[in-house]
Amino acid sequence: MNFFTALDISASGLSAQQTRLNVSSSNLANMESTRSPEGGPYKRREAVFAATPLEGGFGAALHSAAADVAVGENLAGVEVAEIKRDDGPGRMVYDPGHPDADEDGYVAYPDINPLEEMVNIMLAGRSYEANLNAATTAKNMAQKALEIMR
Amino acid sequence: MNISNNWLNPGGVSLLKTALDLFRDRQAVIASNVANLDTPGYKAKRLDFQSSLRAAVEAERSDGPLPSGKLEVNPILSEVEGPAGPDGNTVSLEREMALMNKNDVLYKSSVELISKELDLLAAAVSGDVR
Amino acid sequence: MVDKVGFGALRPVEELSAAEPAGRPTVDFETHVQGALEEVSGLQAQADRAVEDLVVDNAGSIHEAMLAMRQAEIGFKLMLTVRNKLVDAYQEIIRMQI
Repeated sequence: MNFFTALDISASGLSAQQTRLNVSSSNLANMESTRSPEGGPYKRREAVFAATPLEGGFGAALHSAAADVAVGENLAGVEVAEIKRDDGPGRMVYDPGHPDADEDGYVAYPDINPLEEMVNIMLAGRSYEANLNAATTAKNMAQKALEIMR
Repeated sequence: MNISNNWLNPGGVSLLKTALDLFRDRQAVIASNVANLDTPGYKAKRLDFQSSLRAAVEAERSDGPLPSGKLEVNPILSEVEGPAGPDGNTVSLEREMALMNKNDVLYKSSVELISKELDLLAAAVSGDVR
Repeated sequence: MVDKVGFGALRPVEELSAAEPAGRPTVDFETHVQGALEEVSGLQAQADRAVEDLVVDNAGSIHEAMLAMRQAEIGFKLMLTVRNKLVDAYQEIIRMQI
């Protein structure tokens, strides 16, 4: 294991938070979208995070010493396991003049709470910054190690 | 011919070499906790090596360092049980940041110290002081 | 005392004096120098491996490579110092009036 491991882990956190931010922005932007490619109003989406054990790209970084490997195997990056779609009925608003109104005059709007999305965006930003902080620290530590040769 | 480079790995150097590895590993553990700040059910992890390192220092006094010039330590990776948030996650960002800063300072001071130790060896070898 | 020059002989003081008693096997000077040279080249091989680990496999640690290099450098300098001393001693003997 080395600092590249730490950097890879932090990078996985950065990209997961980035996805979460995109999902929430998309929800916010589509609050009033009554049409979508899958038919009906836009459906609210949510990013589901899952811890991913170090492997593949990280595999090479796991080093010889037995204890080192044991620690490495228990470390996890993060990934967006799925983007869940909320297939609920949506929010029905009476607006007979709307082109997408049904025969009773109701329009199905996405069931999105802007406040919830804003909070989500803020939290994603905070977590993004924390991961960035961890990556910067790992980089600084690695750079400090160069001073051994000075 | 066995490489008996013990003179290049006096007590301080072998300890610091080992410590550098451990602090580096701990950075990865903390990075992993921070990355999983919002993962449901994730338990924060801690890398503990204090007692193991202490024992290794004692063992070195009698047996000397490993061929790699390091000490033999078995760090323990444990999980933090609580308090957990509503989604079962036990990572506290503030705690992780504090631990990370502490670890960072420890790593950097270890680098300074090991450089100094090696400067001393180099001075002893060349006979002049840089 | 001349056979103390080998690097392997640089042990802590108490160990040196303890190892002194009569039963100590006498190793000739050449073997000592040979051993010391091999040790230095071993250190350099170690440093090379650390660099390979880091650069080729992205696996080794930066501090590991740096330390191995630094230690190989110190070992090499010790060898140089000893060589210079040997040459000095040789020249002194050459200049000696008989």
